[in-house]
Amino acid sequence: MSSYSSTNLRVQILRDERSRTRTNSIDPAEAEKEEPIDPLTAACRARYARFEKAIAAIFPSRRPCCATDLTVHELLGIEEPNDDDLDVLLPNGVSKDGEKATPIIRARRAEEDDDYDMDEEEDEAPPPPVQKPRSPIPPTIQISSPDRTKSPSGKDSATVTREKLEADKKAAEDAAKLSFSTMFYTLESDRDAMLEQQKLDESDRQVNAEANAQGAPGKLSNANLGASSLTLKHLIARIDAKRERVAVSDMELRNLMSEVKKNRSKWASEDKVGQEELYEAAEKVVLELRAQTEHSTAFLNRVNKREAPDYFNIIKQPMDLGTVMKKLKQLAYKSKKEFIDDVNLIWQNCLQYNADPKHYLRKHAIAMQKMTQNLIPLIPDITIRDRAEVEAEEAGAHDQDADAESDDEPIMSSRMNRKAPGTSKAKKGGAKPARTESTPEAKPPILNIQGVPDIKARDSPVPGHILAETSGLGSQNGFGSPALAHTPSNGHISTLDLDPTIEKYEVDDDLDPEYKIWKTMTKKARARAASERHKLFRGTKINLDEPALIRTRVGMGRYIRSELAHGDKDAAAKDIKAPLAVAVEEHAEEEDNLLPNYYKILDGVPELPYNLQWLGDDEDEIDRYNDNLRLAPKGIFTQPPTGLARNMDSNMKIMQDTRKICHKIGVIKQMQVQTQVYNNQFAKYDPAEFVEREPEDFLVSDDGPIYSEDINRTAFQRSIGKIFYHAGFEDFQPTAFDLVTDIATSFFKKIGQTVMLYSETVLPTGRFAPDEILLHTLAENGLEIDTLESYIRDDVERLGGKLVQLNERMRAHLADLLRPALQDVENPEAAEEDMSHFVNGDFTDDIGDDYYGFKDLGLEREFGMSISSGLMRVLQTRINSNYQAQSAINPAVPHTEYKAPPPFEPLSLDILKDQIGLVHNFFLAKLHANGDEPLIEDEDLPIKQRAPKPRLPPTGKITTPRKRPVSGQGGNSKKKKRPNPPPPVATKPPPAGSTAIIAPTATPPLSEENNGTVPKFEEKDMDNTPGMMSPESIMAV
Amino acid sequence: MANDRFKYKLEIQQMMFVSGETGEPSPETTGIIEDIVRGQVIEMLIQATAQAARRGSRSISTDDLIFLIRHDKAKVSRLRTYLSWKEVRKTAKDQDRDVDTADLVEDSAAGDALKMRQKRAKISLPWEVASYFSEQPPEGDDEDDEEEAEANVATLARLKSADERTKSMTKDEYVHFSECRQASFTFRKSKRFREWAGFGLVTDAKPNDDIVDILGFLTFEIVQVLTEEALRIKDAEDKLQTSNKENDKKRKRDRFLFDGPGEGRTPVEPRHIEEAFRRLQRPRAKSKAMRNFEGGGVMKTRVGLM
Repeated sequence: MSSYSSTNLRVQILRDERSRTRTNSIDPAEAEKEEPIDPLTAACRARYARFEKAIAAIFPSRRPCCATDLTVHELLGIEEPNDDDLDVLLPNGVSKDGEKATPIIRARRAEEDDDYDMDEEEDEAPPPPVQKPRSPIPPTIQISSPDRTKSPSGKDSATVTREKLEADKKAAEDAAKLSFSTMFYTLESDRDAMLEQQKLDESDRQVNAEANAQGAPGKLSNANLGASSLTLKHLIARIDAKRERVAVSDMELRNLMSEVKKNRSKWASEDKVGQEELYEAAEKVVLELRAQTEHSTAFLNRVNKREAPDYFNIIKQPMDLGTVMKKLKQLAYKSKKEFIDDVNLIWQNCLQYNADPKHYLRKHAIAMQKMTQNLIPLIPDITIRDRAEVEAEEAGAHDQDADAESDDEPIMSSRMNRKAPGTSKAKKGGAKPARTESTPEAKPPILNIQGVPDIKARDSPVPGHILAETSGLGSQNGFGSPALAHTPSNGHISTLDLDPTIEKYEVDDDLDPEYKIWKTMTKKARARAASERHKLFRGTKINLDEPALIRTRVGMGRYIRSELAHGDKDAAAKDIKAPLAVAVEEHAEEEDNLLPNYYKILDGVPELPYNLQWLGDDEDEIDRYNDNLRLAPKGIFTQPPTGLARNMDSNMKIMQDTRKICHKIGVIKQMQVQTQVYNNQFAKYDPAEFVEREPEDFLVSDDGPIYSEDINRTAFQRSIGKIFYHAGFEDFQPTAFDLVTDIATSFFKKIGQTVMLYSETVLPTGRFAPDEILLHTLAENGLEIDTLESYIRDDVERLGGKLVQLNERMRAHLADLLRPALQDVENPEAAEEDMSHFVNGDFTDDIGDDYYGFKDLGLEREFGMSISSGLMRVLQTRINSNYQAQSAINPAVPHTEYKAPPPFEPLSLDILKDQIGLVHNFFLAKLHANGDEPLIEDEDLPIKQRAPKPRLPPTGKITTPRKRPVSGQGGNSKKKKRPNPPPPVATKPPPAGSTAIIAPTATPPLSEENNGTVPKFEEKDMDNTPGMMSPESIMAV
Repeated sequence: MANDRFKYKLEIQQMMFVSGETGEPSPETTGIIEDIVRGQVIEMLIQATAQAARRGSRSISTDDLIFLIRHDKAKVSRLRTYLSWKEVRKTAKDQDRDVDTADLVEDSAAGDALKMRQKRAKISLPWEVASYFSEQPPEGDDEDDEEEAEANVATLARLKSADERTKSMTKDEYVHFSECRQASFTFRKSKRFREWAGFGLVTDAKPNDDIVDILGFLTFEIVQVLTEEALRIKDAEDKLQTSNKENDKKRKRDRFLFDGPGEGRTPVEPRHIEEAFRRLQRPRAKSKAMRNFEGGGVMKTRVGLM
């Protein structure tokens, strides 16, 4: 955008204002002619010039070429601006009626030295409207040969007209292009342009669809492909054979064919003479008319009855541009007149229907009418005739032009015919007498040069003259407004009342002519740009499905060129970039650059600096050895192994160690309690050491902090988890974890904010010192140095000490528990006594295995125990502890004092006979259930299989037995330690009155028996099974 | 009327005396202190009950109460000592009964040993290190000496100041002082205390003995803290007043031989207590920290526990 330097940035409004002043005050054409300038105009111009300069001074450009020599102060000093350097850009060729304005805007070199690349074009195509009227053009142009090659002497008048129009157009384009650099057009009219263009396309499609619907895909050879189809007949025949496989419509095919045949258009026909020329021109006219979207929108399609119910009452013969196009495609026109009549009919209809002179459509209709008048001369005055007829004529006139023509070949002749439009009547110009109409192909018609647009009509004949002429020549002359004059059917409007209307509306149209030109010239391009822009959005959001905007080589080249052209040309040529610009040059040709650069923003986007580019190789791998992208250094997300973290880590290590010991103790205790131990009963407990993991490798491009919310949060959570563990939590719920993380995050955010606040605060004495900032921040957030210090001291360091202490004690405890096994057996007899139990008892045959998982526990390594000995010793330990417990509980009763009674014989089928008959059935059933094996006493069963003992409540009523909750191990061990345990009042409040029952009554017989059989186990069971603990249960049994 | 409402006038006076207030505080002063103490007790009970509910229990335990003041290490430490000694006393009584019946003389050594063991029965709190682990090793011998010593610094300082005060006392005064030291809201008037603190309303009506004891201990602490703070305020006020007076009337400065006795020490007045309470209730920065940058400067807060 930098090329639009200060002087170029003119807001449209300014322009409008100026131009309005100008157009209103004085007719520009007159202004040129008449030397004495209206003083008002002069004043306005002077003011304008001042403004221009002021703008340039206010927005100075960095570029030397754009710099003004004027400063603001100078500017203010200017009193009388010089008219000479105004070089006002009046539209030179504005016609009197203001129609088809083709102003040429010259760059104001005085003010802005912008040297645009259009300069050459400007030079070689001088403003035609200025030149043409002045340089006399031969009124008649003789075409010596009917061949397409242009004769040096003159041109086909239609060609001339066309060329002139094209030149006009080109000039207008140039003007528009030039104006890009001097004006900034706002984009607000783009939407209208887009909508109009859409309508146009719509109507195009409609016409096409209708045409296609009519002409069902038929034989191509049937289709009228023009004369030279003979030369291609084999191709055509071939295509016809495979017609169904060609997926194009007839129309398209015809277009294709006409392209193949170089000089033949789709309209070319073998049978019709002159059709090609007429239709080509007519089509061009229709397209041109349609392209005037500003005005043509209303006329594109048929009037809908819904929109205007009474339309068809008033208008008997409706017509519209779409219909005209359709008719063209149907080849419905036989002559220029028919076509022009139809076109004019559209405007006439409109004017007739909308009789109110203020109706807005009238304005459009009139504008279109004028446009039509301008365009009509483009159409050669041809009446299509059948070839046969022409040939017949030819035959008649053969003698006259036999030398000139070789008509043996039909194609050739048809070509000639085409070249020399087969008008039946030669056209007559105003001055030159027409030649005879007998040799249409040989003698080109004499064309009236007055058929140029009305620009010229200004200084040649008056309307009356036109009228006279047209009336004399009939409808078929090349004049601009013959149809208008000759619309007898539509008598409401005459040329006389037409002209004032036109002027009136022209005045109404208060747009700046430059702007208007710009609008018309760039309409299509703008519409395209707008629709592309429109596609990028969906609703008010960006449409994500749209492909990305990509700079094009061409666009960039154009931009560079315009950049180069902006400065000094010679310097630019030496510029390094020049080759690039040149390289791009050839591609740029076909691109229409009607739009100013600010429509193509992408082109101006500069290249990324090399070091910021991500250059990928073939697989789109990013080059990670680039200087700027590198692996993030390690250790960002792990804590340094120093300071507090080290202390915490060591604390956690100790905790883990202690937990392991705890686990061992727990296992051993459990083994002492249980009679049976299962291999998988104790889950292995072997926590891994805490290691902070690094995130996966990732790339960074600078040294700042890493903004990755996920990783940061995870790392933060890890720290929080560490603190949790350090505070004694072995595991925690994720929700709690998240919550704490959130709270901590917000707290740290606040700390950060406070630090920011203090570091940004400026006191009268200066800024806060860093340590002050820190202290203030801590205080604001409820922290004090003391608090932090005491945390470190108490919760980390002292905690470490405590943990070490506890760990030692735990180890000692474990060693105590294992000591009996490590020492020599103290009670050999007891051990021996129980060996039998061990041998015939509960232990299965897999003795050699690591039965208790000692290996897992690490006891073996720790204490040098072998597995087998361990097994034995643990048993002994159990026995030992039982002894101890027993002796602790019943110190007064040595267990050797009485002999245990013999155990009951297990109940078997043999013994059952001796029992009383009442129980026979019961025991039989039991035995049967047991597979006729001897029944085992309840006391001998493993604890788990025992039925809970029935308890008699104090009331003496037997109710359904209910299970007591199994209380924890810890409680038991505590109770064990108490000498003479009192009834556990606090934990299990006994039912009222139970204490009364506790009395030194007789020992329950059952316990007596049990003591006799397996005293140790009984005692132990009594101790440890919770169901038997409470005194009343003992009482009950 | 006022007499009906305030039930602890004497106790509060005694406590204030122990805490350094030499004058005789007015009933208004003790009344306001009593109200404050009561509010604190109720607040503690409410919070402890909520804590217990979180545990899933309907009745509060000593741990719940101690948890409320866990940040005041000195207080916790004193409480633990108090509780452990209470335990010792209780078991010792039991022991005494047993010992009395059995052998009075010979077993003194065994009794000592027993006492020593009893003393070891330490009050363990659920948030201490030992609770990190599933197994509890038997008690070791050398534990927490350091921490205890540190926590006892405040207690020692208090004892020292009391010692200073009592140094110059006569025997009668000292007896009075020691009597006053035994003043308690709860001792031997548990029922009155329960009614006073609204036990049935706030929490279950029949609290553990220990809880009442703890509350008794804490109430004493509250009164002491309040009194000390009020005394500080009053001192500052007196200083200001006397300096003003001196500025006003310079003559008064000179005292003469036959001047009447100087104005006696005035007791603490209700406004001092109110000011002390206000100061003690001032929210700490810690509790405001999370509201930084988020507005809401005015908010409803609970009564702060002293």
